Amino acid sequence: MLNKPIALSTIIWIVVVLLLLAGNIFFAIEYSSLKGKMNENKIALESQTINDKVSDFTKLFIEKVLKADDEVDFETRLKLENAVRNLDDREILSQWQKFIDSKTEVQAQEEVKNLLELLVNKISH
Amino acid sequence: MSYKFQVVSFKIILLVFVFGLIPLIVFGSAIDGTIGSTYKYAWGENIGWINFGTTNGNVHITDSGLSGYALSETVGWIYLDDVANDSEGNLSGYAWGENVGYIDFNPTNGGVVINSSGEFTGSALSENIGWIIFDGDYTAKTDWRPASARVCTSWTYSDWSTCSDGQQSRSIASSSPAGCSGGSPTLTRSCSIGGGGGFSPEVSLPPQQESLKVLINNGDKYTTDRNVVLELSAGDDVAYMAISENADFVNNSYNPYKETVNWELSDGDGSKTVYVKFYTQYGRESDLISDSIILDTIAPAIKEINLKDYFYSDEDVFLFGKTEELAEITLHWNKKYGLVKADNQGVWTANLGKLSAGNYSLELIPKDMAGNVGLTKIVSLRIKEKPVVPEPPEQPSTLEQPSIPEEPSAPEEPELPEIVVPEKPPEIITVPEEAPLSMQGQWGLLSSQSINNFVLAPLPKNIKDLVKKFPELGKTFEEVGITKITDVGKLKDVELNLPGVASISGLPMGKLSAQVKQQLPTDVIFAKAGKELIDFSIGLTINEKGESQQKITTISGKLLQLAIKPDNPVETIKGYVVFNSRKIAENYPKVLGNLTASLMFADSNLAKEKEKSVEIEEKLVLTQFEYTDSDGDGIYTAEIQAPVIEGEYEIITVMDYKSIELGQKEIRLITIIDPEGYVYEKIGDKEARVSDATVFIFWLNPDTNQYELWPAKKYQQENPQTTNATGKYSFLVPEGSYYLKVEASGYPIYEGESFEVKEGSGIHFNIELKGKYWWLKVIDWKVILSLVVFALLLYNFYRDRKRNKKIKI
Repeated sequence: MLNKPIALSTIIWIVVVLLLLAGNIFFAIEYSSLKGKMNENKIALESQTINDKVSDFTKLFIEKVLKADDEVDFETRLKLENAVRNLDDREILSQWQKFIDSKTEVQAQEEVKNLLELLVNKISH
Repeated sequence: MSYKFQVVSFKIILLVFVFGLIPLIVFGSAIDGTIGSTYKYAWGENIGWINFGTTNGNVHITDSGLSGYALSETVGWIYLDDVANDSEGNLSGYAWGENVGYIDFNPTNGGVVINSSGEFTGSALSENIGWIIFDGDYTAKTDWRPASARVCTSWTYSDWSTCSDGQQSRSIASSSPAGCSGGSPTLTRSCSIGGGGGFSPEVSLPPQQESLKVLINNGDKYTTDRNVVLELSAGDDVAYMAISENADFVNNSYNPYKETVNWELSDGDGSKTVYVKFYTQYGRESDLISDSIILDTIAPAIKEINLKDYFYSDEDVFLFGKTEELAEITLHWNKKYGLVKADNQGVWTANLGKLSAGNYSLELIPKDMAGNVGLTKIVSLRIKEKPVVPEPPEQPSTLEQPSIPEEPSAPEEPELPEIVVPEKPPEIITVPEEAPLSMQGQWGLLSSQSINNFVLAPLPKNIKDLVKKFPELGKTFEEVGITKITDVGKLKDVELNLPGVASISGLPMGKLSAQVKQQLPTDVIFAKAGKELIDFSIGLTINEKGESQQKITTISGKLLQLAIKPDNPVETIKGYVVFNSRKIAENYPKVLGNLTASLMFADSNLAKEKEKSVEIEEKLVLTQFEYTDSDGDGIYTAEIQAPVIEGEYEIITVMDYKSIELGQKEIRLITIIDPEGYVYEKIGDKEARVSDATVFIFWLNPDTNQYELWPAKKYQQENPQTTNATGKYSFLVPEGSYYLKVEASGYPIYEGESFEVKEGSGIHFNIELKGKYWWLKVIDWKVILSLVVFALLLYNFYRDRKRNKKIKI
């Protein structure tokens, strides 16, 4: 059997194909890695957004309710109600409702403490 | 001269001419003012308006006075040339009118002044026509300014003086506007003979950019008022500023730097940017800085409302419309409120949910981002029950089936406007008209009791007991403001010194009177030494939990006499010496105060009560001992030897009460064991202990005021002490002034400096002795070799000089 000499063009083709294959593998790995990082960043961003929302609501609650000397006006109550629902957190909403529905001063004090505790716990680090 | 050169020269001259004249053009009116076209009137109580700004009147105001004519429709022309100005705007002298006679510009109870804004204020008086008032909406106003209100905006300086002592200077030759103030009268710069020099750094540097800041209305995004407050900040090097809404600062004036400026924004709603430039006193200007705010003075309006004529009670009430972009609309209906927000195009939607049948009034109140509230729009909502469609009755098949009545046709949809019907949003969030009880402002939402419990709670019981026991401690706490539980933290790093028994009475425990014994505090361990005559200074620390700990410091191997008075009859009192650690804590607490409380103690309790039997934790128990009360006075004593090895120990005293109910109590006394002192001689970097050295301690006898050999026998000790091979010695002495003396064969006598002992402290300095011929030990072969080489060198120099002298001869 005669050994045919391999043409130079064939070698070049093989090299090119190998290079392209290596490139594909490299970019696939990079893509996978970046996708992972992007997911991490997305989670971090979501967490940050939630933190900001909870923090804003807590500030509003302290400033407009806890520090209020008089009745809280309907505009502020509307803002608070919208803000608490915008948090999209059932636990907070439920605790907020408990506070709103308080029938006695002692109960309101207890629910305020629970609400503040819950809000602070919701702010992740 | 070439043509090109001539052209360049001409351009330079033109530029110099133009720019040289600009200040004169801009500020010329500040020294020779006229009257504006709007604000030009004074009011005569009997003659009506007097116009100071007529074209033909040609009124001018200068530093020296007024000129021209004012015109009254009633009395004609009034000649002003004799009205004088003191350059600060205080007018005097008389105006004259052919029909009114003289008008005094500086009468008693009156007078006319032009203020720093150029406004005429005050009143003039005519004998014939009475008062002429310069106040009101259209009072005369000029662009002339009092001399003190004119701030220089440009300066021309003289040439630099000749260089002298490395400095040269120049002064202001002229400045504009004329008669203005401000600017540095003299500039100096460093120079050197033969040229050079340059501005000193402070003259040549512009204001520091990083320190410059401007905020409109404290950084607000919107304002509804043209009048805003600018907050400016700049470094110490800034003296002037210029403010404008034009970045090119055309026709702008300069003012002394102020941190707060009231500013009127230009007319017309929209985004407004205020630019500020700062200047040093030498005229160097900063880069431009700015802040923006949106001026919105127009309240929003509900432009469109789209809703059906009526809704069925089983469907959501949905409406939409248009208003100002991003405005909020508060909706009020059926005793509740809701809020919706318009989008960027001003389109808003509201889903009020289902309503029971009836007629409702819906109020819509728009409010824009700036806070402008628009007019309330009221619309009616009509809710109807949906008609029930009757089932067709069952009929025999033979009969002709009656026709089923047709469903009532749906009401025609109202004609919708051009805007696209938006998607129905979820039901609007509402709050009831009446605030819930928790928001009516009648309740304290934060429990004052729990706050008081924390902030104003009294000191813990054991600390209060301490205060009762040691009245001086109470005073100290009062002085440093320790009154509440939250103050306990202040005591964390503080060591208090409790008084001992002998330091007050001067007597050993056994010789105390029955009265003193009676008043002795219970459950406190008193540590003593030297036939009970030396009290150890008992340190008292309070940890973060508010628990107190006693601490003493003694010297290894010394005898300690411990005494305790239990608060209740005891079966036994046992003691344990427990090893804590070799390492003595380095951070000793700072001493807050020495408490020399009297022994008039009240009954109290320092010990920790133990519900269960006391368990000594698993530590190295070195000694176990028992307290005894041989004389039956209620005070239990024990004598133990302090551990030999230095370190931190604990003496745990456990009281086993006779009463089973009381159980046991324990008291812990932290005991720091210091090493003994020693006498040594230094050899190189090492220390050699000196044996057979005699160590004396002398004390200052307060009666004779002389130092005497301390009477150690009285305190169960020896003085002097002779060291063994370890060179060790130690004394436990009471409070006083002392000094040490050491005698050893082959060494000069050591006599230390005097020192003070506060209370029951151990003397354990390490004393270095130096041999009589100590300096001989310094000389070794290296030193000797160096000395020989040095001597040879000297000899060599000597030989050279001698030879040179011979050659000269």
